[in-house]
Parts: sequence; structure tokens; C-alpha cells
Amino acid sequence: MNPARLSAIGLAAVGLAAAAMAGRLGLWTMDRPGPGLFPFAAGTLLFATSLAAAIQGGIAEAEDEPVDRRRLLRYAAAVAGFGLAMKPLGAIIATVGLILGVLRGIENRSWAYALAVAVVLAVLSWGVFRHFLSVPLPVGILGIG
Amino acid sequence: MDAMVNLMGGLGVALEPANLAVAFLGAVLGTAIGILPGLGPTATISLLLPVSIMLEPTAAVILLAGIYYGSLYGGSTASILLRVPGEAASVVSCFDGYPMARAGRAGVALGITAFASFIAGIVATFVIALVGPAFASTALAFGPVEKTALVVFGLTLAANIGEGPRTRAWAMVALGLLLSSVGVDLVSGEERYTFSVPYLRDGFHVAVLAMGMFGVSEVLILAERQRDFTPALSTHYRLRDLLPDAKDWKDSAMPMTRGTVLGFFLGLLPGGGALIASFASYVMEKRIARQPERFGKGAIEGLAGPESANNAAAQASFIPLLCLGIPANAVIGVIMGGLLMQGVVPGPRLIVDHPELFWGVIASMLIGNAMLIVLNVPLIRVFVLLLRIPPAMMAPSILIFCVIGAFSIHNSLFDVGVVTICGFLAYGLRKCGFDLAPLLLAFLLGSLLEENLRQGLILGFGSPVLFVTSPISLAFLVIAALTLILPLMRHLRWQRSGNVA
Repeated sequence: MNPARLSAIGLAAVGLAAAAMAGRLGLWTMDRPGPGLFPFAAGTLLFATSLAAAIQGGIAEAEDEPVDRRRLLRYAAAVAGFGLAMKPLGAIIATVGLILGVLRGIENRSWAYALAVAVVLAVLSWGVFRHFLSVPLPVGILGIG
Repeated sequence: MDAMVNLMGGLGVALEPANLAVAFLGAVLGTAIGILPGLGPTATISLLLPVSIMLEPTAAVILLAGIYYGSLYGGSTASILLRVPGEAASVVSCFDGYPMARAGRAGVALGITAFASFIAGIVATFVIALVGPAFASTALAFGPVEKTALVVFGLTLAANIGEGPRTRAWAMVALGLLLSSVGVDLVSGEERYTFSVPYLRDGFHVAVLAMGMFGVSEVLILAERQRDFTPALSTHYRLRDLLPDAKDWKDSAMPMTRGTVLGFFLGLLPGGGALIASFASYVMEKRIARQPERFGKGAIEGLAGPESANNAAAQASFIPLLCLGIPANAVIGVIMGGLLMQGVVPGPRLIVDHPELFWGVIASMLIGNAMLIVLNVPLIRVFVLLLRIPPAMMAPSILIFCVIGAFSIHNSLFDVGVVTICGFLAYGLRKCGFDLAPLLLAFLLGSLLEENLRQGLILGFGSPVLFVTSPISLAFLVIAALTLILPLMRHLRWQRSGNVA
């Protein structure tokens, strides 16, 4: 089964589950619409349209060039890793780690280039968010931030 | 006449130093992200939502609006020079712009796109000033029943005009409506889809969703393959190379006029916008051309018409937002999110409650377009240098802004998780042929729809009959039904004729 059809089936399942949960909230209470009415309608619409999309079949995006899956997976790991590292390492170290990882590990740039870009972007983002927007960025276990 | 007086008042607001500065910043950022392939206005405006909270509401919208129409000026540059559209609405500029560049007329192509955008932008601004208040005063008479029907109409158009198959667009509308219902129901106090997670009690934040859907997923799209745009950038342009000659102006005048009118009307429609307007203008110009075979080989009409149309449409799409509270497309939807974050509810009362914002934003479009013609004609060489930025640096930069930006909304790591997961899911949906614009529009309109639907049902003592007895509501619902049924009938007729053949 192709991913386009599979994703439509997944969405239909989400719609069905959402409609069932909304039904339990009450569709009509005390002569007026209940809290479940609107999400029930949305869930039912999601179920019906996704099911129709699954039956119609998949029209996945046409690619001009093949996707470099290895590169994509590495980037996906970097995206997930950055989100996960924010709390334990703090924003600055996580940012430096992300840039170093991407430029050195994925894009094969030199250590000096990667480190320079990492430091510049970390300082820039820290300056914008910590000082300009007064956001208390996570400092991590090392307390840097 | 009142409109002109108000527009002059708006110019006073737009010319305040702070607003002038953000208009310039919007124009520069818009041109820059328009030129850079991969980072469109939706993603950029999503990334800047946390920053826009720091500004006054008028300044925030001037900035975000400037980025939108500025991106349309810059978007054509990469299309013409590299045949790589800087953003979606500039795809059409590749058709004749790139052949013009290959024929040694890159300067004229860049020049005519800037002038076409400028002329359409200025005309559209004056028309907005004239018709906007009439839209708003008409919409002031709308009650919950009419508002419900209007939102249903808007969602129908969004699902029908968007990219991709209709059923998939409708699935995205439904998903957006479902996501908008997450959190505590304000009427009954019941928790909906919170799974006992306290962070979900207030529902999803529009900026977090937008950054995930358009920012993080864009990082993954950029990561799919290596890109390099530097080899095609050796050409240098002098100012006189960018100025079209008398024949170019003669050939472009009518396409620009037609493009501006067509783009303006298409921009008003929910679900419309710059992308559809540019394609529609190209098709129209080709159909009425005496020598249609010239199109695709460097016909200046195929560049001037769509460029006018996309800019006129982008600016016209502010009318449904500012006057009706209905976002016409995803970019405008994100700008609506920015307004809501500021505590300003767009809709017919905006012009009454916040006249300085309404007229200030419209007047800023005059100033913004004037800045953009300077940035995109004499200074185009400077912006073309942006294409030398290694694409490898763009993906991590976008990611940093998305993740830290999401954190900054509530200072919560939960939002970091939401933006990341949302990015992965959005990437998957995009790759499986789902257009995310209807999802975002439905998410933004969901609470408005639910609130008015419930009020309408209460007014009708539980009966939906009011929705068909109100003439305005009935008109919107009939048009919505026709929008649904007509393509279906066309499809069935096409299938039948195909079977007969």
C-alpha cells in the first residue's frame, strides 16, 4: 500500500476516534448544542473525506529529482535531537551542537567553518530571544544561557 | 472622498518613524526571502510571529504585510535567473522570464516584473481604500447565522481552490476544525481532547502550529537534496539594463492592466491569492494573444500580466481579513494569527475600533511598494548576492528560529515538542499530497465557526432553519453548495464523455 493511501487511512482512524470521543461529551444538552457537537461534526467529516481519499488512491507529490533518504534521515535526527537537547543542555549548547552536527556531519564543511557559523548563529539567536524578546531560554544542567 | 481623507490619515500613521522602519524591514526581508528559494512568506511570517508580539499591533501588521507583498517582488528574481521559483506564486515567472534571461534580456525581465508589481500594488491599494469600508459596513449587519454561513462559504472555497485533490483538501479542513476544538470548551467548561495534559487546556497556539507546519516541515523539504545556486549568478546588471524600452512598455501595458483587475478580484475570494491569480493571468494572456506560440519562449506579456496579478491579489486578500475576519489564504491566515496574538480581532468592527490600524496598514502599502521598487530595480544586484548564501546554512537557521520561537510563546518546552512533532507530521502530509493551507485556515476559523454555529442554533431554538431563512446566509450557503457540486458534475460529465469515447 502506498504512503498516500496509508496516510488517508490513518487520518480516517483519527476522525473516527475523535467523533467517538466527542459523542461521549454530549452532542445536545439542555436544549442547546453540547460541547461535543462541533468536534463530532469535524471528526465525522475527517473520517468521511479521508476514507474517500483512501478509496480514490494516492497522489503523492511528484518529485523532479530523487530524494536523498540518508541525508533526510540525518536531518530528521538533527531536528528531533535539537528539540530533545534544549532542556538538558540549554538553548546555547543545543544550538551550537545542532549547527556543528549539520554543517560538519551532514554537509561535510570544515570544522573551522562549522564552528564559526555555530558560534555566530548561537550568539545571534541568544541575543534576539534572550535580550530583545526577554525570553528566559533554557539554561540546561551547565547553567549557560 | 471619505476614503481619501482616511487614507491620508493612514499615511500619517504609516509615516511615523517606527512604522516607517518596520515597513522598510518588511520590504527588505520580503525581497530577501522571495529571492531565496525554499523559504516562502508563510514560513517567514510564521517564524516572525514571536518577534511581532514585541511591536505595536499596527507596526506588527505593517511588518508582516510588507514581507508578504515584498516576497512577490523578490520571488520572481530566482525564477528569471535560475528557473527556481523563490516562492510558489513566482512559478509562472519561470515560463517566460527564464527564456528572456537566456536570450540576454534578464535585466528587462527583472525590471518589468518590478514595475508590474509596483503599478499593480499602487492601484490595488487605492481600490482597497475605496471598497474596504463598504465591505466592512455591509458585514457589520451580519449576525451569528450569517457569520456561520460566511465561514462555511470561506472554507468551501479554501478546500476547492487549494492545491491537490478536493477530498484531501476537505480532509485538511476537517483536521483543522478538529484541532481548533482542542482545549477547554468555553461554554460548558468541559475539556476536549486534552488527555489530562494541562498544557493542552488552552488548545494549540496558532504560531506554534504555523511554525511546525511551514517552518520545521520546510527544513525537512530542504534536507531532501543538496542545492547549489551559485553557478548561474555571474551576470552583472546596470540600471539601464533593467529599464524596459518603449516597445516593452507598449507590449506590457494591457497585460498589466488586465492582470491587476483579475488579480484584485481573485485576491478577494477566500481560498484565492497570489498563486491562483498569477496562473489565471498567464492562461488569460496566452488565450487572447495574437501569437500564443510565443508564450513559454520569452513573451514579455507572459511575465507582466502574472506579476501584476499576483501583487494585486496579495494586497486584495487583506480585504477579507481586515473587513470580514476571514483569511483568504495561508499567508493571510498566519498574519491573522499575529493580529489575534496582539489581542486584535479582525472583522467588520476593526475599522471602527482600530481605525489607525486599518488605515495605517493600507497606507503603508503605498510606502512599502515605493520602497520595493527602489530595492528591486537599482539595488537588485545586492539582493541577487543572497543567492550565494549556502543553502546548507538555511535549514538549521530556520530550525533554530522555529524551536526557540515556539519556546518563547509560553516559555514552555511542551511547545518545543509540539512544533517538532507538528513539523514531522506536516512533512508527511505534504509528501502524501495533502495541502496544508486549508488546514491552517480551518484551524483559524474553527472557533469562530463553532461559536457562531452554537449561537445560531440557540437563536433558532435548536432548529437550523434560521440558516436558510436569512437571505444572506442562504446566499452564502447556496454559493458554497454550488462550489461543491459544480466541479463534481464537471468530473462526472468528463468521466461519462471519456467512457463514451
